[in-house]
Amino acid sequence: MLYYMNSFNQTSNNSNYLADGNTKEDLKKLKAHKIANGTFYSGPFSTPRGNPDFGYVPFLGEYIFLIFSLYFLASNNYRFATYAILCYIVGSILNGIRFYYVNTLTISGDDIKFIKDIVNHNIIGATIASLTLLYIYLKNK
Amino acid sequence: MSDEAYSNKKIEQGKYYTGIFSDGNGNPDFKGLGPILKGILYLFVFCIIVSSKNKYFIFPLLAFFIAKTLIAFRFRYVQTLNPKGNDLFFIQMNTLENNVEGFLALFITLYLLLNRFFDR
Repeated sequence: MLYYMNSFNQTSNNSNYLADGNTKEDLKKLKAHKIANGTFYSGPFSTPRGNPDFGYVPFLGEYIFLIFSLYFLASNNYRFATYAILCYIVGSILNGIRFYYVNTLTISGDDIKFIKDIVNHNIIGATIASLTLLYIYLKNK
Repeated sequence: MSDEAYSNKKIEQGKYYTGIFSDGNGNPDFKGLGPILKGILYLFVFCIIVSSKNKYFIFPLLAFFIAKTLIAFRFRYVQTLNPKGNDLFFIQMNTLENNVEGFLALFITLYLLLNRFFDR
């Protein structure tokens, strides 16, 4: 905790956040902090800031399953499918709102980019599910 | 840093929530409803896949397992501003949710691949 508080005191002049910039000194400071917390990643796909970066691969993988499942539900008339899809839409919107209010340690690092991607991912998921719900409604009309 | 200092930082960033679900620290608190409601659709689809033994789902389920595992792995390295706050709890809840959904998908894939063996 003491180390954490010290690292906050060592911030740059224009920002109160730890190691916001991309200078060597900033990255060194961030690396020391992450190693102390046990969250420094140095394996394959690692970024200079010590985070894993898989790009959009995980999101695409989830979309494949989501689209396949929704197509399957829309083409077969399952009894509670519309309720399950509605739950997914509401859940995605709530998750998106909650993720929007997550504050990461650095204001311009990899984490905030990932959180923004997750917010977008939830919005896209909710949109796909809404379109499926609309399709089911129009089909049964 | 005190709670007040964290709140000030949230206000600076324009991420201070004051709506009806506010938890008092500037975050919305939906009591875990987001991940639970999302999971209902996945559980519903998993039940249908298991009951219909639809083998066309093997590839999407594998993709889903890989995707969820990677997302959970990435969440593990997210560092929140407050090291003990609600944001961290929410991130950890999502890590767990992604792991559970991913491994459920893996078990169902294995069931679809091996169900002839189980039927004997």
